[in-house]
Amino acid sequence: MLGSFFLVLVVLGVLLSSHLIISAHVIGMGRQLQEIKNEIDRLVYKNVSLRDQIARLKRIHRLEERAREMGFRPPYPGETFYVEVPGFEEQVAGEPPVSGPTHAVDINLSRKEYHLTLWEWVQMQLSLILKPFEEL
Amino acid sequence: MKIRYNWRYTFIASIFTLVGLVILAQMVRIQMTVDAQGLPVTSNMGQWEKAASRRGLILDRNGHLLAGNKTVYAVDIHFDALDISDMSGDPGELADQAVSIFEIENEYLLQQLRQEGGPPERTITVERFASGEQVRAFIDAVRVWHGEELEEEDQETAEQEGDLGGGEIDIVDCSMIPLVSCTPHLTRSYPEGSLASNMIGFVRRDEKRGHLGVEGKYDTSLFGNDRTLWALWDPHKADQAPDPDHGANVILTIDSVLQADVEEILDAAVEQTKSQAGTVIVMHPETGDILAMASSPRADISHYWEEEYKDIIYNTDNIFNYAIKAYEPGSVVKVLTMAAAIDAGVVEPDTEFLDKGKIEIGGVTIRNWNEAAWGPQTMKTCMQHSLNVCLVWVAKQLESEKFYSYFQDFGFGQLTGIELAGEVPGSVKNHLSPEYTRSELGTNAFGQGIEITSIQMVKAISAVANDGEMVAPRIISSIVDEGYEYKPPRTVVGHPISAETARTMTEMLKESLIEESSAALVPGYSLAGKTGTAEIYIRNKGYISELTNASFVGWGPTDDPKFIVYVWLHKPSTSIWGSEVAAPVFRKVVMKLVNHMGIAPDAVRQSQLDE
Repeated sequence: MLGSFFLVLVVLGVLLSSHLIISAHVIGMGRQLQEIKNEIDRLVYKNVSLRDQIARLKRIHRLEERAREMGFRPPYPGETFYVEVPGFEEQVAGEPPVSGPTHAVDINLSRKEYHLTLWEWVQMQLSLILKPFEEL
Repeated sequence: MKIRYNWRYTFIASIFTLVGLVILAQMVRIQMTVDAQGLPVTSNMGQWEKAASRRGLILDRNGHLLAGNKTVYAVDIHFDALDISDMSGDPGELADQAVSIFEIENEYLLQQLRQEGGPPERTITVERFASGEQVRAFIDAVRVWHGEELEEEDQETAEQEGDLGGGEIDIVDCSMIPLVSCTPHLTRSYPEGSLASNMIGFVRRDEKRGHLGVEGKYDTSLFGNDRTLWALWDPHKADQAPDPDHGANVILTIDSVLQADVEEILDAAVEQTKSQAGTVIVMHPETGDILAMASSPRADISHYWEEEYKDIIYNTDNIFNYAIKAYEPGSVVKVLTMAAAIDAGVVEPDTEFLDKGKIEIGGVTIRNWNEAAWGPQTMKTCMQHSLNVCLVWVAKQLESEKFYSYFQDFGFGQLTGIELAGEVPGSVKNHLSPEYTRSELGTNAFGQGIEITSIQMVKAISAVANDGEMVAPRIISSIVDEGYEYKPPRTVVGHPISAETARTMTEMLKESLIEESSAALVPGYSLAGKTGTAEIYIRNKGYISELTNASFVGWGPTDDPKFIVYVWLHKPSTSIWGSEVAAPVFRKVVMKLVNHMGIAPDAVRQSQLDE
């Protein structure tokens, strides 16, 4: 009798501890998630600033000035030599790069399991196990 | 054995029981003592989160960035966080530092900051668009104000950043200083400054809406919607967090390098000729792609709020972009009058005309530009000498109905549909308009008494340069949104003249250009073109000979046109004539164009064709 009581206590204790550990883990994950979101925001801001900085460094007038400092100058029409390359097809002025669709991670977040508490999940699993017996 | 281990079970059971009792006691305490209404509902626990969305980029045809975004900060000073007992400096000093670093000019804000004993409002936003460098400088100033000593490393880093010319791009964290908070956010950035600003338009920082140009026309597509949603802390609900809604990227047809060259040529011309303003448009006649569209004066749109740009931006006269402003173009219109007459079969290039120096129409006498009689002429020489009398005679042969029907087909008085905010249709009367007088048929024939835009002229001329096929000018090459690209198709908007007429006109203008305006010629290339000089009408004074609009329209190479160039200089002072001020601009632009587009001289292309 006493043994059974202790067994029940131990089982209850294990369940409670598991629940506690999982809850703590979930909270930890929530915090981690928040940190990741903050990091994403920080990276977005940084990325935007970097792109802006690159664009400023690549300003047409700045590059032209650098080229002139290095001794280059624009050519005059008479100074250009044209060479015929057999088979070469005239290329229309460069098409801008088009970014492709972003790769979506294949996770179905609408799955029921992702939105259940541990207790609800245990209930669901139990009902699945017991279902054949209920039908009998 | 049972008895031997009994105490261990009892001990474990006691611990579990104790833990259970503590949990039970805590549950009872919460239920009985804590106000349950005040507790947060776990299922709703979370926070407001903003998904920072960026406004779409504007790029040129080669992917060069013309309008992007940058990170700036809203800086708040929390005067209520000042601990008076622990205060190392005077709040006034802190306010002075803020005024100096953020260059505060707002009277109300200055008054607030400089109030004795600190501002009445305990939290003050000192700057909403502070750069990272400004925020870092302010944080350092606050630290010094607090009595901290700055490390040498910090100062060295700041100096190195200055050398790089861009500053550190790491996001500034103000959380270690309770007095100051800085919230990053995105704002519009124009890295090229005034380059193509007349086309791009600008975004007002405070309202994030586009004004003028492409920014105004495509505001809804470019707009990045900052989504703010209640984000739950529950990681199971992570998928409910807001996703950013970035604006679409717009790719223009212009080539930034060419645009820079054309702007440089135009600016120099405006300065040399002492013109009030000017515009140059370069269009591909087959596709309608605008390769460059310069307008002078221009605003540096990254500082649009500055006093010097006020007249360019805040006006009702559309001087932000002269390419879409209506004006009386003068003799460049003769190209279309002659094209209409030849197309209608009224005249031929060799049709003879005796120029007596004046002609009467609708009770008004019209004379040539030099008021001379030029004697026997053909239609070719009429164009060569730009004879008003001859063109009035041509218009009379065509008669009003046909003449205005052609003008309508050329698109005068209608919007071209170019993707720029603020385009105007101009003003062209016809024989059915009220207050129309027959003399207007005469004046309209040589481009006076009508108001059209430069972009309308380029569109109309595309019919002549493009074997009779008139294309709609376009400035948008494509729009890219969420990985999908939309490319507006090339649009043929009519065939106002036949291919044969177009070729005849090109040949006529190629020949006449040699005599009419040698300043427009580029050695090695066959070009067709026409000058224009129009007197400007001043209310209560009439037309003033000294005030003119000097224009030039040309295209080439004549056997396979790759460009149309339109030049307009408004009120030039050194010379009033299009042939003297506008034609050299055309020549300079074409010299740049042929190199940039890799168009070989006629002889080289011909030899390739022969082989």
